[in-house]
Amino acid sequence: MKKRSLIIVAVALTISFMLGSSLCYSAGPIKIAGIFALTGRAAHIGTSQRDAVMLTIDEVNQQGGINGRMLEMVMEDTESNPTKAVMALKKVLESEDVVAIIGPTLTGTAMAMRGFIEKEKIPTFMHSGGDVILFAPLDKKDPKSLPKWTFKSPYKAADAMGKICQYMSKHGIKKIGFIYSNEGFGKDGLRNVKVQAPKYGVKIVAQEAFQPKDVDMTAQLTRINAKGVDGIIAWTVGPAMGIIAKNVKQLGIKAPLFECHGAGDPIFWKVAGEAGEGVMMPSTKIVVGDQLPDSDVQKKKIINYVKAYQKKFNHEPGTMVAYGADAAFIVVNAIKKVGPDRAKIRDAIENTKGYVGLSGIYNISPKDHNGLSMEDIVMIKATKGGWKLLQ
Amino acid sequence: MDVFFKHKDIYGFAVLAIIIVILPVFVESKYYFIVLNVIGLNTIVVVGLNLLIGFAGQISLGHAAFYGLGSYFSGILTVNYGFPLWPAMLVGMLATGIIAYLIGYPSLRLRGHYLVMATLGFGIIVNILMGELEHFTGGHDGLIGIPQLAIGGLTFDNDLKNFYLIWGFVFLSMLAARNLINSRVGRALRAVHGSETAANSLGINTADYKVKVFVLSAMFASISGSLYAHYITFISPSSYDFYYSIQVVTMVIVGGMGSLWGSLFGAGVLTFISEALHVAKQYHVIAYGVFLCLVLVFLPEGILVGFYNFFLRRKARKLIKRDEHLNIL
Repeated sequence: MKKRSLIIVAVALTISFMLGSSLCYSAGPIKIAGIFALTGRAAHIGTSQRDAVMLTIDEVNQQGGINGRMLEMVMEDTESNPTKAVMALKKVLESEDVVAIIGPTLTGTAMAMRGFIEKEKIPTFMHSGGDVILFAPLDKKDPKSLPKWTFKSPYKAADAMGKICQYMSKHGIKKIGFIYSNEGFGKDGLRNVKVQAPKYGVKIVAQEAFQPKDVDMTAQLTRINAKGVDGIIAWTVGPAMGIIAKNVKQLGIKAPLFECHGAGDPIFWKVAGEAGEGVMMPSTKIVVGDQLPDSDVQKKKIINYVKAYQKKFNHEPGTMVAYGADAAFIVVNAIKKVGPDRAKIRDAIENTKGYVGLSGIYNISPKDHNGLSMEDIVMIKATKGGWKLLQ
Repeated sequence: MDVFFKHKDIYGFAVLAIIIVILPVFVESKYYFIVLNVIGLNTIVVVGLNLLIGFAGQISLGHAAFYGLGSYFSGILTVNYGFPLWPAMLVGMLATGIIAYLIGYPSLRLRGHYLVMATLGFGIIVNILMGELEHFTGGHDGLIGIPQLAIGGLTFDNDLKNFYLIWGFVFLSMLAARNLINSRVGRALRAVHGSETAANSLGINTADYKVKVFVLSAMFASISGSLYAHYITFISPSSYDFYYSIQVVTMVIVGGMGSLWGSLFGAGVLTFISEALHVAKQYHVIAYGVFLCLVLVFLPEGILVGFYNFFLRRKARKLIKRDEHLNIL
């Protein structure tokens, strides 16, 4: 008799423990990892992406989380270094309940992480600019071995270049000079311009390179100007954006200057000063939200987000902010739809159709893990410390 | 075999071997494995560099280049030309050795620190070439799809297997360095480090020894680079920038110049600390800097050597105190 009651007590205890633990489990937070370049050479981009992601996550949590479960961000720093990025990836994967990853910032770190992400089977929404992370095969011998678990939120660099060339042909600019920084980003631009310019009947008559840390580009610009160009494209980020703008003004070059899709950021005004006036560039709509026509489906969303962003960080968001916020929104939506399960989240992200984001309208498919098109990009002009939407 | 057992530090190697074999029993996390593996890769470079700094008294600021040459030789030969894995690694090692010889030969014949300048420039040139020779190296986008190493049917395809592979190489490289230090060559090198003029007068060809040790240390870095390429399976120029060269020199200094175990210690502590400090969010860079300053101010001989000397001094002081009443001092 005594033995039986003991058994009953034991069984009851076990059941209550199981119930208790499963209850605790369902009430615990859903974990998402954020891997960004918080230090190192891309820190200025990485930190603003982190802020954008955190703003989105906080918003979801204030509205009560997902089915009563809060979202928790696990932040890791890549130090802008590929090896450290792989280490950060393994670190966040330690916790079984991390269901998705947002980041990293730099293309180099993304490329190093890519193989491990495929092996670990965790959906990852990257913020890196380079198109290679989606289109370079994982195995060189098999061109069809494209990544299954990797997505990226910034629009393709080729489309940004296409947008500039389209704008040029519309405004009668036929002969252009191309100046680029001699590293990954600049060379990627050179490859793209050679493909995109002929499509729109634009001829590249001069191309000049400079080193990323150079402080004067008057020599290159003089050579370009001597060829009698009607437009100049400069492909670089960082202080060089400003130096080129200043040099163009100093040399009195009349041909309009176009810069890359990373230039639409408050940082541009810091490095270019007054010389920034009149420079044109492709950008996400986030920097010109209030100038959009009311018929634009993105307008309301952008204005609300920018308001929240300004309130929290006390400055205007740049074009990069949109990428971070969109990646976070899409991942959160996928979790809302299918629950915290890595494989199901991946499928849900891949089936995102017509999602109205800050960077554009995402139509993700198995063939296109980015989902934006050239229509989502706008041309803007730097005017009086701000931006003007061009038609 | 005689040299092998003559010295007491062989017990150290026995302990290291046992730790390497049984450590995976206690470590479950993949993250700790990758940290341990990166420590191992750095240790191989640092052991080689310490031979150069600690014994030949020369500093190289271009070891990232030799590390990178190993990676790129392995990567390019296997990916682009379908070379078998291990021979590619060997070719990389020999080619790196020859390149190091070509740099070391002229610059080490001069007196003073000309090697620093030569390697500094060389490191930057190699880093630029990695990005520019796109046809071979994949440019700044990097070289993708490098195969994993394999012996027979065993492929080193996870962190645990790579742990044994990398630390096997760490063990071998430390053993090789130890045997070198305890040989005739090692004694000659120490003589060079002590006084170059005195060594010269004893008939030691100092320049020759310095070049040899420089070539050897470049080869160590090359092996480590090859292992890295096959482990991460992706390489790009940003892993081999000037900062990496500085990092390994720092590891030598923090561990203790001229100390074999200090090399292991320096690589381990600095790799681990830079990871552990990530709890300080973006301030980890500052914390790391403060840590390095403290070490250099209070333990300029390096942590391991510094503490060892500290205990030696204390022991000596105690002995002096004990014998004070004898009035013999």
